[in-house]
Amino acid sequence: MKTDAYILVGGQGSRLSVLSEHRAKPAVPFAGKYRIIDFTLTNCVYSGLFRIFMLTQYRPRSLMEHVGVGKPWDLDRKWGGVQFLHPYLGHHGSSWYSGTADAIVQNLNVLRDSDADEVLILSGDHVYKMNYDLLLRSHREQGGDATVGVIEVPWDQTRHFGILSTDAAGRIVEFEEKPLEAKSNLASMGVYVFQRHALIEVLEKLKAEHSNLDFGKHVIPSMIAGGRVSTYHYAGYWLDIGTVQSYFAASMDLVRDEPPLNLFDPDWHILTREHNRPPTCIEAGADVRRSFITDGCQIGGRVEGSVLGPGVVVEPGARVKDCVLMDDCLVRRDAVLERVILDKRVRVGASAVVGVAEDNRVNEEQPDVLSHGITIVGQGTRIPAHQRIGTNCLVGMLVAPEEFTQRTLRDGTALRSAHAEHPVR
Amino acid sequence: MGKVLAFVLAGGRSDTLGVLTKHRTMAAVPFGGRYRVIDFTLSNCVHSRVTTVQIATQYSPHSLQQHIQQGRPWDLDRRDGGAWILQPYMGRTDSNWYRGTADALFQNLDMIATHRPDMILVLSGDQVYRMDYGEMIRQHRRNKADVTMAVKAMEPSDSERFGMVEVSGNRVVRFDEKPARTTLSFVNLAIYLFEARYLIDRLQEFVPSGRYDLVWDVLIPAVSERRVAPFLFEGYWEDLGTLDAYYQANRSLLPASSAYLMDRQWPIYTPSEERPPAKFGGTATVHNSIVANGCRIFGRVENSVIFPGVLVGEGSLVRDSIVFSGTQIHHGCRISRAILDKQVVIADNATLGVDTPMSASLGRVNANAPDVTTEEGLLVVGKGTHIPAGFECRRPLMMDSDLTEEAVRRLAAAVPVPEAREN
Repeated sequence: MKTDAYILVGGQGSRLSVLSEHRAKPAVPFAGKYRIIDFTLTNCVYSGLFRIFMLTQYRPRSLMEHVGVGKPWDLDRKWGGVQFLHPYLGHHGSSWYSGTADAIVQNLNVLRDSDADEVLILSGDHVYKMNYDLLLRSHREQGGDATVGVIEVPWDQTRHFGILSTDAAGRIVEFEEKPLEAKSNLASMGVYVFQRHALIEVLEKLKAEHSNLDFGKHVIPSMIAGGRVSTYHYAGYWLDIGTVQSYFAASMDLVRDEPPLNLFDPDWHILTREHNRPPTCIEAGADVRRSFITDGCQIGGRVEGSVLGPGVVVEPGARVKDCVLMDDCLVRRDAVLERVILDKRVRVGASAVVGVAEDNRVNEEQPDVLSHGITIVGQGTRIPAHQRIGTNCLVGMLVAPEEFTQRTLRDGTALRSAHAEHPVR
Repeated sequence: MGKVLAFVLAGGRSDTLGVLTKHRTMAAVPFGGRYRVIDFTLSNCVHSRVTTVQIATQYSPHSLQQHIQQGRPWDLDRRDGGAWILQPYMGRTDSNWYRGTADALFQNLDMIATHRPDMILVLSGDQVYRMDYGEMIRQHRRNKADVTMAVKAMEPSDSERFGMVEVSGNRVVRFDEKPARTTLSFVNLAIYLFEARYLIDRLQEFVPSGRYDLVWDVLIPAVSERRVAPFLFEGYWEDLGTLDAYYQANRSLLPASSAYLMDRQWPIYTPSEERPPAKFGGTATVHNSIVANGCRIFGRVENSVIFPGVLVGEGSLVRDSIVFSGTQIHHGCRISRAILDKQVVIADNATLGVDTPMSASLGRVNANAPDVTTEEGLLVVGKGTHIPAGFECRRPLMMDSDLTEEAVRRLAAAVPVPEAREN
């Protein structure tokens, strides 16, 4: 049996705020040294899948740089390997991908030319460790046209997911997208296996009907009607990092003594592009506990409950508590950070205080995204010494020190650089 | 700049580190929290744009070969040049192990000739240093020398381990190999740059008549003919020639002076181990230490170098120690002044090394090896040895590799307390 994997990596992830303003959501750094996409790519290679297509659209540069020719995953192969399918212009005109299944429709020629029996559709923005081989075996045993990976979610969360109801044989009888009153708590993981021919057939039929063809909304419900769609139950850790809050919560889970996501399993090490860094140096006066720290850091201050990417420097006297600091951030002497996410290369001046709450006002620009007491700072911003920044604040990327015109940014403030690219949301 | 080929001597057998070099050559010994010794030489090569690198191995080469792969971590997997590992091999009419450093070069002259180098940089893979060979090459050309050797101003107390040289102007005028006593003040760093023609002629002249040593049979005669220029080196260079020196060289990397590892202009490359970031538990306390990826720290670590994937359990104390990859120290252990090789397992509440530093002989790994000695009161545990729960032992001590808990218990009964020479 031959299987092609298609990973949808074009998502904007707008509820990740500045973290995904200049990169696709799958390229957002997570757990210190990884990107979100690493989990899916690692799953693929550990499941023996080596023919992978990545469907990009939204700001793919960071992702392409990271994945490259796929060397870290042994995907630099003569046959198969990893191939990017970007939106393109063709003879008959072409357009941006306007839905998850539309992205496949626009690459139907690739799907037709393949000699694969099955097609695995994956999403590049989930964090989980799943052996797709078990899913594929279950699909073959049940002999249907499609199998959907499902996971049980808490009943009070069902309205955030696509919910499936099955009959006694495990066949899907109903699919509801984000129902207010759910009939089941089985959520679709956005992981689908199709018989290649069945997928081509259904896409050809549906593409005329919908311009924004979506797997969850259109393809699966249409196939359910044919009665040949089964489920595969997955029971491990699975997380769709959709919002700043869930990103932050997932990061905080990592620093627990027994985290729900075990990254230390020698049989399932997550593979990523490594940047040759020296081991981390912890100085004599430092205090590091309950934290997750990547190579290349230099720590002289106090770090607690935090996730540090490679090359972060925390100078003596600085205090970092419950934070996520991405690659090469610099925290100067006596600065204080609490519940802050710093994107890459942010510099925090001496004695600055960031993230300490006063009145917990929600963010003025993104009230629905930044309301849980987390402050977020975009890539490359330089926060001047003695600056105070409250909670629920949003500081854009590349903000220069002189752009902090007020000594204190009150809770809920949004500050953007006049010079940096400012994406309209 | 003419074409330079680097020839790295990495096959030497070195018994001075005892059980640490039992199954690996000195070049493959772990160093500095995530590296192997040879990483420093290979990284120097690529930073100096010397990208044709031949590595002669002989003694226990597997660890080294696995490490070097095809040279990829150093971007030495190249179409033109790149890294080559040269093992001794058998031919139709001749087959020999490398009988000396000059012989290792001689037996690979055909491989060297393929690349048509103008200069041959002969390096040893068992040193830790940071050098821009480009400077040495430029100076060599300016001096129009046949040979340039790197030397460092140093007055070692144990000159019998070094080659000592005297420099006058742009010539090396005297070379005493391993003198018992010396008045000379430059140490030979065993980094040589030869005009290719000169070296090839000398090798063809000397080696067939049974003169196999590069220092005795090529360099010392060249010095007496005034053909050798010095390259005075003042940068980072660490001697690893004894167990104590190896221990000190690692300790010298601790944060206060870790600038050499942290320098982003001159990173040291090494294969990645695909480990997650290091995890610090709620009960962790770490001071003045180096901790690599993949570690899980729940205990107390002080003044130590901790390689990837090490576990330090709750209530354990690791002090003044070097701990190699994958070693597991469970709960309530006390470890001080120890060098623990890879994959050592220490069960709960073991105490390695009571705190009375003393000098002693640690014995030897096999009958042919010299005694390993320490003035630092070190405790060395070989790769994969399992220390049973509640085990206690004194320092100094050297434990063999792959001992089972049972064997360690039996051994403990038999270990004589080393004769102490109080410091």
